[in-house]
Amino acid sequence: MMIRGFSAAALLLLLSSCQSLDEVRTARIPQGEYVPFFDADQKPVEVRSFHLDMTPVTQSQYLEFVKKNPSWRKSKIKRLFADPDYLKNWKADEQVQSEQAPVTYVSWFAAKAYCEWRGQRLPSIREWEYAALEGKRSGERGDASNDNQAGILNWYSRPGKEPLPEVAKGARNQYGLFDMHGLVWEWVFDFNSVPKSDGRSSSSEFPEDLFCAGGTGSSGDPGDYASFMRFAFRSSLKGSYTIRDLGFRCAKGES
Amino acid sequence: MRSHLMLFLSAMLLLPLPAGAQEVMEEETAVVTYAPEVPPAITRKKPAKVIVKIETRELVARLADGVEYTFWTFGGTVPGPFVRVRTGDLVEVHLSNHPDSKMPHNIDLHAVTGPGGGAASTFTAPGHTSIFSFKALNPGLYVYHCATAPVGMHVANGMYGLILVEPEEGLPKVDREYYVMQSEFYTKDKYGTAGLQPFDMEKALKEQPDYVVFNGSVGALSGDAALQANVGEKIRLYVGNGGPNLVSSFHVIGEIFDKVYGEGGTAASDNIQTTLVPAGGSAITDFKVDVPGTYIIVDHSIFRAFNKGAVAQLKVSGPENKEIYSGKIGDEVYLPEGSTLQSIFQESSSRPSASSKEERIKLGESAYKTNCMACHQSGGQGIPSAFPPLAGSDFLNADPNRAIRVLLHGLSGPVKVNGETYDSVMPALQLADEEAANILTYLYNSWGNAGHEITPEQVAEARKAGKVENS
Amino acid sequence: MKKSLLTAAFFLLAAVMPVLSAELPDNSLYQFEQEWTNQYGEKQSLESLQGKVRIFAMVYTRCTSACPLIVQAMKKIEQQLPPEAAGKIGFVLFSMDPKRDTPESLRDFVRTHGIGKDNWLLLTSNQDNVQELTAAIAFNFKEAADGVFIHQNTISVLDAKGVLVHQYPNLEDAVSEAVKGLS
Repeated sequence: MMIRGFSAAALLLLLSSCQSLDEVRTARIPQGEYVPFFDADQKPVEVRSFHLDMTPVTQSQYLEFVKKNPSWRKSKIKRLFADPDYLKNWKADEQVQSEQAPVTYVSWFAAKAYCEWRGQRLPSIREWEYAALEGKRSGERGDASNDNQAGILNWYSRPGKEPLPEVAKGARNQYGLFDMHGLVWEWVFDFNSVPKSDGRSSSSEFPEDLFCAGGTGSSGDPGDYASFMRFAFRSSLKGSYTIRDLGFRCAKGES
Repeated sequence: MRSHLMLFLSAMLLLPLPAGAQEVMEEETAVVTYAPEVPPAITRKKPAKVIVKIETRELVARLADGVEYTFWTFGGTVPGPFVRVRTGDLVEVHLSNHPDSKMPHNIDLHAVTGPGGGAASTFTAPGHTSIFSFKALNPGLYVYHCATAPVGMHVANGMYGLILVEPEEGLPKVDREYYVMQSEFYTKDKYGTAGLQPFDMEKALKEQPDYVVFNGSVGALSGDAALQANVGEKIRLYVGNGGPNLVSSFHVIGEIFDKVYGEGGTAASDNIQTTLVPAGGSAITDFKVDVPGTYIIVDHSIFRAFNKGAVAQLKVSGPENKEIYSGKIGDEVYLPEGSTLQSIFQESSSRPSASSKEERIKLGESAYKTNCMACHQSGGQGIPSAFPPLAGSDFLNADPNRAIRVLLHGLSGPVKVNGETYDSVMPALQLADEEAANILTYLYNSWGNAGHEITPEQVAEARKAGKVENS
Repeated sequence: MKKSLLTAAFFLLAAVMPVLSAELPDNSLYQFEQEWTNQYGEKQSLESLQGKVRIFAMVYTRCTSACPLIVQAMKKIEQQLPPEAAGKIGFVLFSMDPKRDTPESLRDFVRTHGIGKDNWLLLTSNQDNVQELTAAIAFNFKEAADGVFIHQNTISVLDAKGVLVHQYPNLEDAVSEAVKGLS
């Protein structure tokens, strides 16, 4: 009896910890290889196993962070860490627009601080892209007739809605992730590893104008419009930028 | 004291960078206009610093009647604003990307001398503004467009416009100037399919557009929105081609361009019928209008005009000039040598005549294809702003007698069909009573129309009543 | 001797720091709570850089092509500054390769490229700090598979309080314009 009573308590404990985990459900992304979009040599790279949030961080989740860390309130935030549009769609410091909608109008610094507060980190560009591969496996070429790409393009080309839809309303991908496409753009840790030129660089080692003036020469796959749009979007950012359609999710595990 | 010095130093650093030792320039904000309007000619005799503010926006708007599209735009319109500067001007471009945009955008102006035409310097995330300046070195009419990857998609969604760099002495004076820009759209469903149409990447790669239009939508320059002019005026069209793929065979039906500044450059050719406008290129066409009427502007790669929307109108008002253009002055039966001395009517009477309504419809269908379909289209849907629909047509169904007379004697002047006004000419058709009866019976029994049968006797009766007077 | 003088200077700065940091503007890079290690192996906070105008660039010591050009351009700026400005301006090279760059490799870099001792700091740290710093100054870089970095060539200027006041993406411009601005 004693033992059974004890195990019941342990079970209860387990259950409650499951519930708290449930608030921030993560998916395990298995180790594997893929060919990064714009690497000149187009060789597969290895991605180690890691965990990734199933959904983008919601406004109510972010609210918890702001409550515990007042320096990240919209009224307190320092300009170094976010531009003046930070949390623009929130009515007040602790008043969200829509609880289950993804938090957007957050800077890279804010996204990073949030993930670290939760004992996590932002995914790298490679991790994110690897986890987002859909209907197209490593090494396959992008194809205009690919249904999935058509769906992605369709989202990318439609004006955003206000307020944003809630997370986890669409289909999951093969890893159980929601909303990798079709809800918001997402910050990644090394967003600034995308080649960029301001057109004046005299001797930059970055390929000139890869994403700005439209050169497709260095990309592996000129048919992969969806990737072009993601990489172009990332390369237009600075760490302090906050944008309506830009949110994030956190990762865990070795990077 | 020390910190003062620091502040002083940093203040120095904040000073705007001098762009070399230069004479002091006047500064002004550019007057920009939206198609088909063109900003007034520049009267300044000296170069100035000209500030051009352009906003990029993504929005849903009309592509054709009942058809919507998510356009990416400069200034909320397709094409974007017309910018006019003078050779030698220092042009400072402020590109603001609206906070509601999903995409970063930039601008590559073909008038720029420098890497990327300004593209890299103006690469702008949503909710931000980029600024760069360039010196307008070469006069000419230049296309600008967004050059953010994937460039094709940004252009295909509507991101282009024109910038005119006037030569120092200006362009020869004309009475009216208009801004006309051709481009094509690639939609998921075929031409005319209603609803919000997404971009179709596959069609874009194959260069098979569903829509080829002037100024961003089907009918943007037709009907009430037609370009206007008066007899005797000199007209200048600033013509651009945004592409993204097609090269335009730009033509105004019934006009000869007195001058064409080919490809938007400074050298003019005289007396041109059709001028080629490359994708990402332009032309300036000057012509004097001598005769009143409606002039149809087309891409003379002609299926684009008839089936994809590449039609615009220029309406010229004023007195007739019969010496230059007489109008129809003869209408006779033509009897080729060696043919039997039969009139057309006699000949046609030997054709099969229908013995039932069904047969009449069948014969009518083939006669429709020969005589009517080119304008009214296979499904009777007509062509927006040019030829009225016969399918579900209130005009047709209201009065069979009137319909017979229109078919036999033609019709001119404005008519209202299903709420739209059409102002074009239907020619008189040389048809036998039997043939006309068959065609009309086919029409009335197709596409949701009233179901009447028209007999040759009715046709003969209505023939006597003559042409329908229309005011 | 020089070294100890410098160290003393840092202590001095450190002493006045609390007062100064209270005045740091919201957008100052010195808002970052980051610790870096200089070429002498000493730890120092980013904040400790305040008080001087700082001309800085991101480099890595194994870099053979672009970084030497960056250093050369910065040396040209130093040489062309009027004497009265010289003492008020410091030069800083931040490593974008903290995994490989140690105080020792920083000192090697100083020797190889004939970098002056008095007015130059070379700093290395960790990946997180590098990422924050580069995100703030919109500097894009990427480690290619073979340990070679693809990066922009940018020279930036911070005012005495750590606010980014200029960025020169073109090295020739950097020399002529920075000298003009600082003279």
